[in-house]
Amino acid sequence: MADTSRVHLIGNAHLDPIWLWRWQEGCGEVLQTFRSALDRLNEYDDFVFTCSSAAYYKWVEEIDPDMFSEIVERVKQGRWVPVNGWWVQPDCNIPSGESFARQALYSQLYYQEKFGKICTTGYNVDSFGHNAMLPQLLFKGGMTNYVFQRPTPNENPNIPVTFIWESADGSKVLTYRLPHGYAETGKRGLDSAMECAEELIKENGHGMMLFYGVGNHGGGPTRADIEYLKENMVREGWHRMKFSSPDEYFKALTIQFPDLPLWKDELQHHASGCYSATSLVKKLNRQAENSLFASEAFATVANKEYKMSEKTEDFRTAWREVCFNQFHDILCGCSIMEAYDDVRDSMGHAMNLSAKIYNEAVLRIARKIDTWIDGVSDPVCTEVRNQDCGRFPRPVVVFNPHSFDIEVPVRAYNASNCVKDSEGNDVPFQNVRSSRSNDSHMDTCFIAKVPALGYSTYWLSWWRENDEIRRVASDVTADGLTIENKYIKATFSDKTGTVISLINKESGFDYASAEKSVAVPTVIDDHETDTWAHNVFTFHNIKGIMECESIELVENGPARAVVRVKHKFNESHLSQDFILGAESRVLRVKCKAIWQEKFTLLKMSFPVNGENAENTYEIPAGFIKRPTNGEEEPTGRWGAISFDSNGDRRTLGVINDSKYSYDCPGNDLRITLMRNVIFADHYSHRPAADFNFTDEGKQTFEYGIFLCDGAPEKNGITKEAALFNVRPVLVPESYHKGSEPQTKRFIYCDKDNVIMTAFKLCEDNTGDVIMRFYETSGKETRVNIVCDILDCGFKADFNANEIKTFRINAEGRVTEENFLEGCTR
Amino acid sequence: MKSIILKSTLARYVNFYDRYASSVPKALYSAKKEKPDLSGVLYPLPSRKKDYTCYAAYGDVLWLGAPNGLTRYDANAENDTDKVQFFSASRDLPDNEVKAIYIEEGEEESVWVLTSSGVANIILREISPEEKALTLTEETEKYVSRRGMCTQRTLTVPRELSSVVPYGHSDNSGSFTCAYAVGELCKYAVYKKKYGAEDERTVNARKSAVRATEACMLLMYIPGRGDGFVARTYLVPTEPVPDDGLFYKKMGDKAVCLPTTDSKKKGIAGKEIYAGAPIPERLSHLYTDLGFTDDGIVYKGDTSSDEITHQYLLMYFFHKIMGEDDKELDEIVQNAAKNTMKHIIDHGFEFHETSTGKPTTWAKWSKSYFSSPLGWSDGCLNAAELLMYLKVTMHITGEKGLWEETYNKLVNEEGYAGLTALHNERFFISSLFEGVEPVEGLMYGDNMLATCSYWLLITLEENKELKELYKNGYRGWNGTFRREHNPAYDIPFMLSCPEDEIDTAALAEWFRRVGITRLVTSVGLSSRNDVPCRYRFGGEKEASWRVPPDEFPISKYDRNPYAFRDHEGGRDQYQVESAYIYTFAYWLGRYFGLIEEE
Repeated sequence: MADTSRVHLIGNAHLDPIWLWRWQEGCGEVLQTFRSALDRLNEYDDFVFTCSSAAYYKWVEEIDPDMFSEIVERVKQGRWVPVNGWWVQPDCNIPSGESFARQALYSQLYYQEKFGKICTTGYNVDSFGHNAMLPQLLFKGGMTNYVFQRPTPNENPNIPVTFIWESADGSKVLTYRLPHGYAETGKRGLDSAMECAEELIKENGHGMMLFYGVGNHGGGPTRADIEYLKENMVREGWHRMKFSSPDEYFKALTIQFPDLPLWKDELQHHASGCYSATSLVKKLNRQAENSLFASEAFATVANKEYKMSEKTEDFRTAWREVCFNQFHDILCGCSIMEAYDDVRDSMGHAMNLSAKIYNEAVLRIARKIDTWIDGVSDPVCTEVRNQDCGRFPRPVVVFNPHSFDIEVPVRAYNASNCVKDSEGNDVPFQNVRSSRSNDSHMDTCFIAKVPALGYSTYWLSWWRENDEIRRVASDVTADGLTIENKYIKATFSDKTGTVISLINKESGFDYASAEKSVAVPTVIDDHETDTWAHNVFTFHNIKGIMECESIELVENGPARAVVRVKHKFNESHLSQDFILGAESRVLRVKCKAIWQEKFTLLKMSFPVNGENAENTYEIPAGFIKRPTNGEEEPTGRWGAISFDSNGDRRTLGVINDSKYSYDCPGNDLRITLMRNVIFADHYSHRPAADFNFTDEGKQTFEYGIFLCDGAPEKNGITKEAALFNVRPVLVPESYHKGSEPQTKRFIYCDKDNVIMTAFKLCEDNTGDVIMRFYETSGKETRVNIVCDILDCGFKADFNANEIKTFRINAEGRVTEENFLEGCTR
Repeated sequence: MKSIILKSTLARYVNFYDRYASSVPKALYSAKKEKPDLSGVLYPLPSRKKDYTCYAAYGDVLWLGAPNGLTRYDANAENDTDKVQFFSASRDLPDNEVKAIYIEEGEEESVWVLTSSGVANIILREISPEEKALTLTEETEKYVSRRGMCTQRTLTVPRELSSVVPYGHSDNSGSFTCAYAVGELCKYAVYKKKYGAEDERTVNARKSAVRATEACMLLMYIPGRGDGFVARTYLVPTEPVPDDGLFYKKMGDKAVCLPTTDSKKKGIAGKEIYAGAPIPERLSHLYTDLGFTDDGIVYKGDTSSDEITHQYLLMYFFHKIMGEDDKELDEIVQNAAKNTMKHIIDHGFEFHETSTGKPTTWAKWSKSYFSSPLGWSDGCLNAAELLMYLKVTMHITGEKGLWEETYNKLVNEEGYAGLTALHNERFFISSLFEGVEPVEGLMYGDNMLATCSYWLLITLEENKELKELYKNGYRGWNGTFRREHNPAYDIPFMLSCPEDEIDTAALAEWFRRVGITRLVTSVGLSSRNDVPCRYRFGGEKEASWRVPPDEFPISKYDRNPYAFRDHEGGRDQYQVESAYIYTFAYWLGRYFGLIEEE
């Protein structure tokens, strides 16, 4: 076929809405850049401008509607090309799969509404790494092409320039790696980029893109750049150049029928320090994602069954805040310190909206439950305080937003002497120290069983001093510094405070020993890097191990056993509560740190003995296998090490509630709990100053230890991580008649490895319901889903790690849609 | 390698009756119409729970009637997919509006269903997988076979198999019959081993296998061009010639191109070409025994690579299984393989249509075709096909010479081997070019062609590197055909790539749920509440799960098994198809020891 290769000139302006400035300046930067681009379009008939990020267009629409109208016109003409059907250019490792779905949903529908079309090219030219599930996350957001830059060829030379990128579910996108930067400008830079493009065309046999225009703080193509490029459009012996867009480039590439390599891996590493820097923003992101999932699920139930009004607009507002704060320089923790004040407010707004709706939803449901007890309103002469009605047990309702049944410890205010379920059966419970300092100083912790997307009512009898507490048998026991249940037995060292025996009771295998204990708080020196940790991919320089200050068994009851360990390192302190609940497969560790160590990371270390070790880490909507080579790895809610020991395959997993970075030098799986470096320290050109540090001061977080034989993803670790992150909520109720039973499920999904991530109303205000599930274990699965409140029940075949979105109409008919919910079809 | 475990299962035997026909039990009309309480059913049902209007129980099994069909709910069924079975018009019911259900007393699960327009009697009867194969074969031999060619036949009375018209052709008579013949050959081998050569079952299997093979081989000789050209199908003078492609009528040593829309468009209507090459009597007896001669025989040209590929699959299996038993036919097979191979080589790796002087529309394996926009994507499969033909020719003839020389040249100099591994990538780019997803752009028949080609290539290639390359090429098809869980693809794949994991339970489900008749009766998916409709990127509609074959419209291997289809229209209940869809897969599995029956 004839050589139709061209250099496609992509005029763009990289816009960081927050980085070394706060969002207000970022907003101004967008307005100025868009004006400049429109001026260039007016001046040069063939010039084309490309710009991503729906959030920026929305700013312009709201602040300068006239200018927005000009943009709409240019988009119609094909001269202004919106790309990346996402709200911003987010970090592409940290957000959950559901977050990526929302990035697409809210942006593509915005583009559809304003421009009459959605974006077909994904475009994250500055994001620091790209998870292996992105092809699916892009494709199901309506995009077939992808442009990225990092890691650069120097950081990972194995990644081709153009390739077909495939995720585990089989989705593919045509992908282009910028070979020469996204913001070329000036004669020298453009010459170099042109030479590079020409060389790559000869090497690969098809066209290339050249990105030009002042960037980062916006700007865009200058007159000088455009005119220089026009002068060089046709050069003897060189391939022609043309003003173009990524969309046009990919179309031209396809027509050339190139033989492109297939890439089935993630695209890493660039900024390895970014997945642990600034714990605050990581925690806010996880909390917001968790809260919105649960709130939206019960708001939808309450809307369909309990007359609650639609909250779609509120959720859209909240999710857009979350999506904005997933911008790569924000979520990666590498912006200036004051920017995080804004982030905290913005995420707080999202979570407050979510919390209010959640509360309304569960109360609307709870108020309909029949909790009436005959005689409860009879006049009697007893002192009544708080929720104590005197003679009768008080009802509490526990809500489970997950698509699977759960059995977990939950906590209610005030102490009890007896807890029963709705059938009148005794439930394991214990009174535990409360967070307040009056009354009994105690709360009730009991084991609740709650059906999927449902609730269960429990009856708590008021405890009074000298009351005998009824102890219900459970699988939890404690003896000295050993705690155990039916799954796990853990023994602690009174010297080091670490775990010296950790037994998976199903297999009998012990992961730890006195010589090689686990849960070792390890302080790593991090003087040599900047906030991103540019050019550094491992953190192995151990500064010291934290010393044990105290250790004690602080709780020992049928609901849970707790060992509290306190460590210190110089002036820094770490307190850990190792909590083993009844029937729990996870040893949960609740941590509080006061951190003062500058230029350090805190890692919790889990060294194991075995051969053929391999790591498995959660990534958005899936998992990935990685070698145990010690590189710092972006990770989702869990990471694990699997290894052979005497012919058996053992796995130790570490779940977290707000962390995104692990490593594994040798056989030592380590979760990075904190990274305390200077804010926005770019390549460490540090003047003498009193800097602020990213993780200084009080930090709270949780991690959990999970043990199994075989691969973690095939043994339910993702489900445990979902439960670890999104806990049931407990609502104290009163006595009332009601139409609803004391236990109810609103959904049934018969496969544990298919998990729901969204239960929401459709964005088009039809009242249709959207359900989204994904397969977690990496195997093809047929699932049965029943939802009686929607009059629907259906089957679906999931590919390994496939995400499926279902839309259910008022007649109970189901369609399978992409993330755009059928609103653009 | 894991085996496919097959057990006896319930098969659907359905008969329709007029309302108030004397054989319909009176109790059906007085059956009580009570809504079932389904609140505790945590299982997707084809109708909304509130839409069920009547029910009847057979032990623990509930039969539920609704305005959109009949549901059988067996909470204790061993397999998930069998817990809920759906029965609908027009395969199982006269129409979908179920009015009443009555279950006859007795050991057999015999259900009478009253609908708006009639009555159906559905009997569920246990049948072994082998009995199913034999039942289907019997139907094909009795109603479908046309002088040994087994494709499809039209009925004049709906649902009445005995009303088949005495003619009928298919564009792919050769292809479908080849697959049928391979199944019969494997059956013969299985029976011969199990019962001995003289056993009646073995003798009958041999007859059936030979007849189907002869029918296919006849297509390789019947054009009489003497250059290895292969016909798609042929007709005897009593059969009408359809206006569908290029047909040649033989008279003496000439054949004239008959006037059809296609031949007129190409300007070759009336053109005469050579047809004097002799046809072995061993093959021509298929029509001479019926009183016909060569004169007046009409054959169909413009042959595609589909036909050639299936013919080479058959030739490989015939030689392997029956070559020693029937040397006469084996020699005919060997000569056919050589003649056709030579034709392809002599014509620059294209199948040559004499009357047009051009290659046929769909049989091109040349590099020039591969560099065209269409051939660029086809090239990977077609390269594998051509290499397979050469390998099979060498294998069954024991000759190397030109075949080996050509094979080596294609592999070492022309890049054909490398091309076989690029399907996945090229197909994706082509789909993107078309604006669709790969599963939308696929000709589903290509899955079978890929199976034939890669499987035999991997089987016959001795060079380890090449074998591995072909295996990777075969795996490149996983994206489109692995999701089908069709044992006809997965059994060859298991044999070729034993280290790869295959879901044998899904294959067992396929065997279990293929129906016991190939009567083409439509069923609709759009009225089912338990089948979400999935919108693909290019707009094609698919079901979100693979509905079992006995609840899906009857189709050959060349249709998307996820297609979200509704009633088929004109062909509904007026056609019966070949059983090869089941027998090919079943006997292949038995022959290679991959099926275990409990």
